[in-house]
Amino acid sequence: MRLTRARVAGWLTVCALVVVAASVASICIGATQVSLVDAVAWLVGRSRDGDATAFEIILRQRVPRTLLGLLVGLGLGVAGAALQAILRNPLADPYVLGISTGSALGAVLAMTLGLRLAWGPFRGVELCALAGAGAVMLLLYRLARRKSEFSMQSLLLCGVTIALVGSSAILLMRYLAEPRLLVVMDRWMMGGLSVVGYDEVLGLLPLLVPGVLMILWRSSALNQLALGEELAMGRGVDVEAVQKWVFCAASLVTAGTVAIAGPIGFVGLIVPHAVRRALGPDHRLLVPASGLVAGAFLVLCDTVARVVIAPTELPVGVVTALVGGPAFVYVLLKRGR
Amino acid sequence: MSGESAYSFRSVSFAYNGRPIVDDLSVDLPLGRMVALIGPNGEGKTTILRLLLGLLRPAKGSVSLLGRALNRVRPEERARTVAYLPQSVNTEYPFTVAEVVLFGRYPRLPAFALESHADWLVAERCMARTGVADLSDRLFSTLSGGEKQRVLIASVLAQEPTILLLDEPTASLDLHHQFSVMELLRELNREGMTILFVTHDVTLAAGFCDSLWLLSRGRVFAQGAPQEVVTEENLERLYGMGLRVVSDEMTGLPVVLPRPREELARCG
Repeated sequence: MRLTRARVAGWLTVCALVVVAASVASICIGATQVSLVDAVAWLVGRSRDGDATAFEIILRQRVPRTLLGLLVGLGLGVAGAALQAILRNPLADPYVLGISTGSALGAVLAMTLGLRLAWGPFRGVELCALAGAGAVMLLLYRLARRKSEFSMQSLLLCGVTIALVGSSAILLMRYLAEPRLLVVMDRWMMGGLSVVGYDEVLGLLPLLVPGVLMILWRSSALNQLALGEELAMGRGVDVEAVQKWVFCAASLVTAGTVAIAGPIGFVGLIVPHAVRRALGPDHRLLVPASGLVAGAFLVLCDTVARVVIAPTELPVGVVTALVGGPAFVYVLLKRGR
Repeated sequence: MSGESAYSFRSVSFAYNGRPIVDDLSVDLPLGRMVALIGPNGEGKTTILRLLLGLLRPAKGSVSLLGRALNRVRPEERARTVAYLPQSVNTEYPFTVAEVVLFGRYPRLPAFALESHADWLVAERCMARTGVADLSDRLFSTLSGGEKQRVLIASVLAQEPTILLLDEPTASLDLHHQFSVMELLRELNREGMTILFVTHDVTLAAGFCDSLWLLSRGRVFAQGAPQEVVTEENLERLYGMGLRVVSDEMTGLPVVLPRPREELARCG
């Protein structure tokens, strides 16, 4: 069946509804029971039944956190779908390839050294997260483009190794760090969305928006690449340019999400995989749909993370890893068909 | 140069790591021909295909496509004239046959555009042309080698090219599918498509092509009708081993056979 505009619009509407449902759930469910209806009634009708607290919780905590979850999930889903296409490997995602860890390592280094850089809206931690993601991407890209055929399986192995070494380096710095930094550093081991505030949400946009648009713009070329580099070249695709472009875009997006939320694993792996099964592999639909569904998925995981051991919360990275680890093994085994 | 050449090479040289792969090559591919490029492994066949696609630039000399310098032709523009089918196409993605064929429309669509109904009609026609219309909803990855090759040919036809380049289109196919793919290529050629393909099967090429190019040490040392170029002398030069060429009784076309072992020769 041909991918028509109606089909794309229809499926994206469905995905958007899923996003709305997940957001409403995330706003309503939490350690403190709040009612969205009451809060809206308070806002509109100005009823004075003490629902100002509920409104405050919703406005100052739940809404920004939900927005952040949606954006981080969107970035990870889009980056995962794109990386899977250019590496021609359904197991690729920013976390598995070590890009997230590289980014986190950059951030931890910046904190340990107390770097006080600032450039435009970006602070030192974000800049170093970007540099870390970029360095790992560059390394992977050079390995993948070496003249001799470098198998994608080896590339994946390299990524996993980079992630391990990076985590150990972070652990080392954590060991040597001042006690007051310890709590902050934990988020670079296991990502979470506990930063609450609209500033974080806004801070993510300058990296996320251009990165996602760059990937969307190349989604037709990603279809060609998914069928193989040589065929794509014959069709007039500048394969190297597309790969560089998408690699850069994926680093931007990953660095942005990691700088705010730390390394959250497997979202970029599971979601595109599931979406591909449901909606087919055409990247013009797969990429935007993966972004939306991943946003909803992360928000739901975060809701679980917030309430499962209330009043304390888990980092959402723990939840995604617990779901994602087994899913990774499943995909790995399933490929040998 | 002349308007009748699909491609022409003028003193083209190309070296890789200091080793010359293509050496002062001048050759013309006339429009409407079906030509097989034959040569031992590592003698520059793939390099020539890449030069034809503009993926490599000659160190010396020039390549022109329909009379225009190839390096002046933008890749998408080239892909509307020249289609290329590489040796192996595999994907882990669950693309359907119809999707694979529709993706051939890529060079004729703007970025991020979806294929229109008109594009779908082209794809349907190409699938019918190569006899895969009834496979259109199947997953590409579940097809047999012969079916895949027909689907891929449909997908490059969907580019609506005038020139078709293929890298070993019959490798890894059984005899039945080898012949049916070659039969299909010959029909396309009769309808006006210019075809150049690389192959190792001299007998098969001789059976289906107007013209063979024999390639050795980066040069085409013999080109012409199968009967003229497929000789024991030329093959000896090509492969450095003695082969026997016999003439088919019915068509007069050359057939390449191994030399019988000395013992066998003595006995018989």
